[in-house]
Amino acid sequence: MSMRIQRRSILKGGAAAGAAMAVGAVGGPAFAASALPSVGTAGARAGRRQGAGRLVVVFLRGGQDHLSTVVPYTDARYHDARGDIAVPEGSVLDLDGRFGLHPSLGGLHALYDQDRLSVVVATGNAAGNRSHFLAQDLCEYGDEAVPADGQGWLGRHLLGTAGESDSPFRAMSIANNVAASLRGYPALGLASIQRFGLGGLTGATESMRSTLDLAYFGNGLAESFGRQALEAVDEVSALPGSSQVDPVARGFADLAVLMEADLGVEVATVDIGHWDTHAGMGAHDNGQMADLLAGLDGSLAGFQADLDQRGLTDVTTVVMTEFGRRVVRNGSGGTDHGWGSAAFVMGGAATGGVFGDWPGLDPADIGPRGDVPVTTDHRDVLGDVVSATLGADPATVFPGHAYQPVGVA
Amino acid sequence: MRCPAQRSRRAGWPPATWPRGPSIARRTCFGASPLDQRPPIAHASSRRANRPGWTSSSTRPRSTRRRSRDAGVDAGPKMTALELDGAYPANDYGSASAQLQLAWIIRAVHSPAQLFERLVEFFSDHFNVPLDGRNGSLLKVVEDREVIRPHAVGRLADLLVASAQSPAMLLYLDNARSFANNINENYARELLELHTVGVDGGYTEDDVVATARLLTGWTINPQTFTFEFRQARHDTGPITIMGWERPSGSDYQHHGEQFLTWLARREATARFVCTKLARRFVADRPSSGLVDAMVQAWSANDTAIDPVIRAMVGHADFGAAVGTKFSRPLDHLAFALRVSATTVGATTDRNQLKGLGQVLAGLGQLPFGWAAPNGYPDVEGAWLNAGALLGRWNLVGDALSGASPVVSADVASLGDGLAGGTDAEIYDGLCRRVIGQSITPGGRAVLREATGWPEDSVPGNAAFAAGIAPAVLALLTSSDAQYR
Repeated sequence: MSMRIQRRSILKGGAAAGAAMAVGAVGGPAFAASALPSVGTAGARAGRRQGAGRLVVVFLRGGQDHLSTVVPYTDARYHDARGDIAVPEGSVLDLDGRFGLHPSLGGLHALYDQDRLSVVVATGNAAGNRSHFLAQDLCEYGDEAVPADGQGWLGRHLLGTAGESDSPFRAMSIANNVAASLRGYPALGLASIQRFGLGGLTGATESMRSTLDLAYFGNGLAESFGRQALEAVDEVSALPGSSQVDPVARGFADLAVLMEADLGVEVATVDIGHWDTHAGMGAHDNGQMADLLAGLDGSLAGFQADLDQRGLTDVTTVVMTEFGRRVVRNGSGGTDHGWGSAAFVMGGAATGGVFGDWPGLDPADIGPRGDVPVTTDHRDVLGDVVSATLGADPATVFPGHAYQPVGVA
Repeated sequence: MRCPAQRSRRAGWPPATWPRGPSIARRTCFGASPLDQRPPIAHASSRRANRPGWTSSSTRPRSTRRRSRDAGVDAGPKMTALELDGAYPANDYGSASAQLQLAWIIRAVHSPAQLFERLVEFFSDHFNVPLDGRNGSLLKVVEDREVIRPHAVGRLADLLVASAQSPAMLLYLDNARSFANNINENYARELLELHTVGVDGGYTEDDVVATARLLTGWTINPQTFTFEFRQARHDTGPITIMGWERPSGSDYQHHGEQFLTWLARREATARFVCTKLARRFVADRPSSGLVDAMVQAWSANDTAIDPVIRAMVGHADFGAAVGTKFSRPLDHLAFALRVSATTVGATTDRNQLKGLGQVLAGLGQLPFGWAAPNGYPDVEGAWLNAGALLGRWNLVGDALSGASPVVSADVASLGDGLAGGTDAEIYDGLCRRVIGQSITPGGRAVLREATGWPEDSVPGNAAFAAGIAPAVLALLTSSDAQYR
């Protein structure tokens, strides 16, 4: 455990004003450093805002297939459209007599039975878009287009309430890089507690604390993030990090530890990839989709069990994806990019139940390319969640969208 | 372990008459190195840049005459796909992937054709295929050598066709299993959205389907793992895509190649790719004037890359932008290794490759490691955050401290010729060598903290020798060093 060095005494020792090492060096940030709240500066930390819960946003990258995950198993059209990659009626884990979960999702189903899982059908971006990247952007910026200020929907909330906490851990991505939904706010990227320290494998940087403190003094954007890093390593160094090799498993394990430690974590994002199942989805009990969903179930239910065991009842997890996939199976035993998707709200403030209007799978409902439509805008699901967990006003978080409560949280 | 032939450092490096050379070198090259036999592009004056063939000397790989010097540079397994399949049994392909990743680092650090390696990096991102899974990884090793590298400074039209016919790409984006009456849209969509005209390039969903139809039957021969056009699985019907019409005749494979060439020549493609090039080499938000100049060069030269690069480097924005772009992790690693005269050696030893992988794990960016087809992002907001800074501080520390036997730094050499000077003179000399500019009072304070040398003194031999490594590490971890 390293000694906290009193930054001020080193500064008094003679560093001249300004952070630049070299004459003529340009720090060139995209936006003025003054736009950032000061994070991780010396002084008493305000800590977590009183009475607020905490939010974890899990993003499934690639477009997770709605119909394999939350299955409209009583609809004959589903079985016809999906053929050998359909989940047979007898194999689903029933939710409400209309939908069932894929058989790999036993852990989530148990949470549903305890009224701790809200399931939303036919949700997504208001305007369909088959580009992963544009669709993800629309989700992460919470808008109809990428906004000029480049702020993500979570970033908008955090910036608007910036005075209430200056913990460097207030917003985090469990990854090396920060999710776009947090853009605009100085969120911390932390991929692994064990590696999050000063020293690396050889310890070469272990003794550099005082040097780095001096080097990262100043008003530039990089300086601000550098100071945040140095502030954060002190807090993390004493925490027990996971040694699991799988980054998702390790990430959730570390996140539970971070949530339990009194660090001021308010919002965290986690990414899970590999959902772009264009080919070879496989049978319900054997193959790519079954494996992906088993992995997801283990991660999410395992995370909730971890939170429960630590007594962290105020953490709510929302799970979303950029779009669902087409109703009809394609020529490679997979599915192409679609529109309507399924979303989940787990633990914490989740009310439990199945939500959203299901349009059915008639040709008239699914359109010429065969898409599950969107009948509940993502932003209404997220609006429920941010008001219930963070005390945020959905109109502020999603300006330009007329929020309609869904009831998921 | 093979190392590239050691080259002696040029005396008096960097030359006093070489203003900003090391800084500009972080744009066109991965940084200036004291091991360079001649300065990298130091003066990006338009006069020089407009000389025909100028970029060719820095973009073409050296001829075979230079093979002995480049021995370590042209690294990576040379086998065909079939040979790789035999050499790397089912679950043991990891070392083939790792060799390709190590080859990336060796080339970035040691290749004399630096601008060429920069362009290979760019097009590897642009036509992204990750090292993922056994078949994907082995085919990617072949693609790097046979598709990207031969075409990175040719015509984009040729690179596009080569990419479309690359088994690695055919597998990754599923075109290899797209057949008449059973199409798979994955590749067709990303071809339009990511490789050519871009998401606003004016194509419709019908165009995506039509493109997929045109490319049916473009698949992988199951015996040789090379490109094969299987006419029996090809949709021969009439096809229209964004106004392009399938020609008559039965040369069906050639129809697809003609469409790709037509696509490459579109202004939307020029604009999309030139904007990305300008983002990589100049600024996160390149000016329209710069992109216009590049688009003009593209169109006037039938999609040739070399004139486009010349137009870019010759533009006033290029020099003005130096020092303002936050480097990506691999940019920073290559820069740190080059500037510190580090030698990176090729190896096939599995343990060494695994060890190197562990060192690189905290970097947040691995060569050919981005899973999605759009390639690594290239704007500051995607890379600058506290955890990422911590990762690269540690990584540079590890790399220069012998964490991996394939990476051997000679940090002490950066102090050559500086012993006997005052502390301030030494700090300034080191700063000019690493950052490319003179040091500030604030910078001197940081180096004083790192070295422990008393202010206004002449460090004795032992103190001097002991202080160089901490000083270099302090410079490489500074915020200035993160910008190129």
